[in-house]
Amino acid sequence: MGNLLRYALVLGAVLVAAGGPSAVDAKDPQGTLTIAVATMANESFLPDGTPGAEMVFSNYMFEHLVRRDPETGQNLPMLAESWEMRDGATTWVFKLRRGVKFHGNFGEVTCEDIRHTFTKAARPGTANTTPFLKKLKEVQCPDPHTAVVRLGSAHPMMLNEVNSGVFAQVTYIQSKKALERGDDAANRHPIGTGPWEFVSHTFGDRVEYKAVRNHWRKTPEFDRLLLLKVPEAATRIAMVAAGRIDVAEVGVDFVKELKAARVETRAIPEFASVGITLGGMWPDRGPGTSKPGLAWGPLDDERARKVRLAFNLAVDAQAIRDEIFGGFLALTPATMFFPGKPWTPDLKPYGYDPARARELMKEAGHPNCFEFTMLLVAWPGRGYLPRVGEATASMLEKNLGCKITREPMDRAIFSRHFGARTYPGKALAYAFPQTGTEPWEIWTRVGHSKAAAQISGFEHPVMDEFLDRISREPDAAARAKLQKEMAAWMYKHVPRIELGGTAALYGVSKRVGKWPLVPGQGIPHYTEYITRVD
Amino acid sequence: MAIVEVERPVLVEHGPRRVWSAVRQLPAAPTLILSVVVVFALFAGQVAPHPPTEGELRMRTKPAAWVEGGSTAHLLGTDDQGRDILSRIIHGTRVSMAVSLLAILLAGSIGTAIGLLAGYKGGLIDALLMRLADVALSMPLILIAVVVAAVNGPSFRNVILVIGLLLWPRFARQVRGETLSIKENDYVALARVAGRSGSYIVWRHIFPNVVPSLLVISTLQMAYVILLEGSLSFLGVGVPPPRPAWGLMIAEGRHLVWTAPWVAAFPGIAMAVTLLALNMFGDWLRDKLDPKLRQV
Amino acid sequence: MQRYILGRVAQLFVSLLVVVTFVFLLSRLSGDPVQLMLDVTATEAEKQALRVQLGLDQPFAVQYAVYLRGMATGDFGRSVLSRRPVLEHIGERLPNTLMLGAVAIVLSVVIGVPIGVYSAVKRGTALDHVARVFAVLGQAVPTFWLGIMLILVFGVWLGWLPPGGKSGPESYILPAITLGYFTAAAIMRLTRSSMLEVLGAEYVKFARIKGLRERVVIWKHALKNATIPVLTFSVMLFVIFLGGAVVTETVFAWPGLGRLILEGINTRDYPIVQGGVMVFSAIYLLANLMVDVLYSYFNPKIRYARPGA
Repeated sequence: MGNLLRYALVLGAVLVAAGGPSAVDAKDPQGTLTIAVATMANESFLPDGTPGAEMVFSNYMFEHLVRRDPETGQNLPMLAESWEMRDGATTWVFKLRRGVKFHGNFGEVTCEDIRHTFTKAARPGTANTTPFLKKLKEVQCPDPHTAVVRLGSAHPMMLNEVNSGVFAQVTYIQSKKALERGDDAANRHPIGTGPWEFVSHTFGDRVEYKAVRNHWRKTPEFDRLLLLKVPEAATRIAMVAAGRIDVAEVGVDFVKELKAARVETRAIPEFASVGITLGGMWPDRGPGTSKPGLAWGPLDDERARKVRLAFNLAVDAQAIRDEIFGGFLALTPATMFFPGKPWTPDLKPYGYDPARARELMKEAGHPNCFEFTMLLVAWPGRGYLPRVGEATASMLEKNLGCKITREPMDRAIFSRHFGARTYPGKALAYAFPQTGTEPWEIWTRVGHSKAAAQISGFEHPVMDEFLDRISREPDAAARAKLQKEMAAWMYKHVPRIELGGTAALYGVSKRVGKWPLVPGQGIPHYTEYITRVD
Repeated sequence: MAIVEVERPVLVEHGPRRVWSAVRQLPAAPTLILSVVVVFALFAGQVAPHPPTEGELRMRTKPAAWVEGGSTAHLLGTDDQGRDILSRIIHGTRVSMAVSLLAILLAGSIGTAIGLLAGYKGGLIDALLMRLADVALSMPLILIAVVVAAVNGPSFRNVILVIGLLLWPRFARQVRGETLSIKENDYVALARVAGRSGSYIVWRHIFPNVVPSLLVISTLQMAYVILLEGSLSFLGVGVPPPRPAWGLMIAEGRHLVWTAPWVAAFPGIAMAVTLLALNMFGDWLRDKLDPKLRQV
Repeated sequence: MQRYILGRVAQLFVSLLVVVTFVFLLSRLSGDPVQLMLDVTATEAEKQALRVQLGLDQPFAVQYAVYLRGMATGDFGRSVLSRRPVLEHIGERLPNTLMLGAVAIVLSVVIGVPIGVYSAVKRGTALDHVARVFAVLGQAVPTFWLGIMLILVFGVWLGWLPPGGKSGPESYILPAITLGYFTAAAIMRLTRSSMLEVLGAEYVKFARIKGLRERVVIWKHALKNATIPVLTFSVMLFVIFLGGAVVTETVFAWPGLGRLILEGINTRDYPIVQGGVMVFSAIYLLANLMVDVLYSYFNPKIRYARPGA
């Protein structure tokens, strides 16, 4: 009896091993996953060639030191197994995972690759503006699997810049040997460690990748990934509706169109914070940077505050949410403070009260409002901005009697004004993308008086102080508390018609199942986890 | 032998009877449509039921009155921002007509002047001017317009300037060709013998004979310019919002084809009908004037 | 004859030089590419470092001289964005535009000429009217609208054809129709009016008197002479065509030269814009040259009347 049982068990095991599904690779990669996006930005694979928008084009084949958990937002190991912060956050030590192979014959990942990648990304003239690179002193390699990153000053949020979770941190680890072939060769045939491997690139049109079998982390379910550049949103929707592509980057303003075309959607929440920036509240920095008699400024002026509040009350944010964003707008009290976060205070959105708005304008000395210009600029992934600007201008004209000149402007031209602070007195519909886990990270880059580009529309010593204090605080709970205070101050002072937080939206075909999506990460990501629906 | 000026338009009556017989000969449908368009353009404010740039966001993309969900307040429905489509189409005639008339005027004036000069003077001047025309013709108009918009921002004035400055060669070539052949006529030679100055000959003998074909070209080019303005708006470099222009309306409605196809359809139909009328009118004009005038 | 051709070729180069200079100035006035290549939060120092790298910190005159010198050796510079040679990009994209254009022109001629001929011959009849309405509609429907409607009907509702992008032969159909509809209508109308003129001309009446069959009269004598203005007009159409390509390529995501230049403008990639516009102009001027040479070959009277010959 015992023998029979034993034989049966062995037979059973053999049968299972031969015919049953393997635990490691459930499905053999098959078919092509086609993704269509509006733009591929610089289309450069080099560490010093990309400021971040290229992630839409290259994130599939590369990996970072750290990755973000889609559910909790926590940092998880990727190419680094563990890490340690030392010397008051001026030194970061990463212990690297062993046995991770680069594509092709470029060997295993070692500290040398980390060093080469970061050093190249930080060289003068680089396009890569990841903040820690500016502080990089050197990367030391005490042994092949330990990387010691030494910075010139404290940088407690280092992990957010070496993880794969959020837009504009481009610190993929590339192969030193591959990069040493020269920029031209490295760009024509890039080498990474990701679950997808580079096959071909037709500039301005498409990129093709193929699945890496037996990848250390996850082998994709599709054999090929084809990324297409299709500039027209209507065409992308048509393509995904016809089933000729599988994932179409679409934008929340197309929710109704996708529904009418019977296309399923995937939404990534907390992608951007939408509102109308009222420009001009910074000190005079030369010709064109200030406008005397600015009705919505200065920041602390009582009358100006009334004007700003009136503007917020005169705009029907809910109508904008329902009609333009198809419901995908979470009303927020302050820019980048999404609802439900530990750092978001419990403040009610302003609401819609045109009568009270008119009263406030009268009290402020502008019974018939005044004249100003509304800039209409479209940004990548946020093509709805000119429509938001138009709708808001229309509401202000109707409810308050303002005289608003619309000025459509090319992003290339407007970027100049952001940097030079030459848009005083002009309003602009703008959506801040989430470029950091916590709001203060973004505000340091766009709202500090020392920031390179004044996108927030204002500067103030109180804001500077908040940001400086928070950046030095290592404890997360303490930071959350400080940020709540900052948000409460912003609620009263920031020159912005606050609308709310919106999502990034993708239309998907019937061949595609679900996959984990990191909140705030607008570009297609974690594509290796996309399930195939046969 | 008497000097007879044989090359003249057909109408020989004078005064009011001349006008009436001319009107009676006009093609019915195109003239009617064009008259309506002109009325819309001139009296848009009075004719349109709603102001063109005021919209109620909650009223967006409502369908036409005869479809379920529509209302008689908005006969052709509303657009993406809740604005009345019919009113915008009516006001849009203004922009389309203004842009095309001004651009044609600009191109036509420059083109005719250059064509007459080149044709009459000949020689080096002719060669230089025609080379200039070649250069202007060889430049891709739409792309140049995009670059100009990138430099100066999109504007009404820029659209007219770019189109006018790149379209004149078409007029110039036609005028030059005709000048060349008219120049060979006996009465021109006789006028020169009689001591008339060059400019007199050009204005008195050549130009009037060039006018009929100028009218034909202008009518047909107007249609082309309206289409061109539409393409420029589609690419985002036409007349800036919120001013209603047909091309802009179609461009704004293009992503709504699934949920609200009428937003792009109605201005498209208005555009097509106007252009149809213009082209038919131009055809009629050519049929009427050409066979008697054009020389092979 | 040879002197004539040589002269015209020389003029072609001069024309191209004017075009390139014009576009050079215009595009450099349009804004700074470095602004767009970097993140909005980049500092001025970072931007300047990149400008130096790309040679964009030199004064206009220097950049111009460098560019002209390069062109003389066949080097059209490198794209600011991709750092790859401009000619490589153009080489990748131009064939796509030409192929699409060729298919569209063939379609236009095959549809436009016969309808134009029959319309002229059967002038005033119902056929004529229907044909003329078809032609006039063709010139009244905006390209981009037609493209999107075609995508909607054939690409989405019926699913017969791809809604965009260049793949197999079936992906040429919708863009070629969109691009060629307008020219088909124009060719039809031109053919019709040329034929009408010619049919009324002396030598045709003479051929009829001679007793030749009507079919021979039309196809052998009349059409031959009617094609001359059609030829000339086709060259102008070709340019409208190349211009129309920009819009069609955008709607259908076609990887052609028009879209390359448009995107070059959006990213302020000067070398691409300069090179691309120059290629467009060169094609047009060359085509013009060929038509003029053919024209003067067939019609000596005009040749000798040309200025400077």
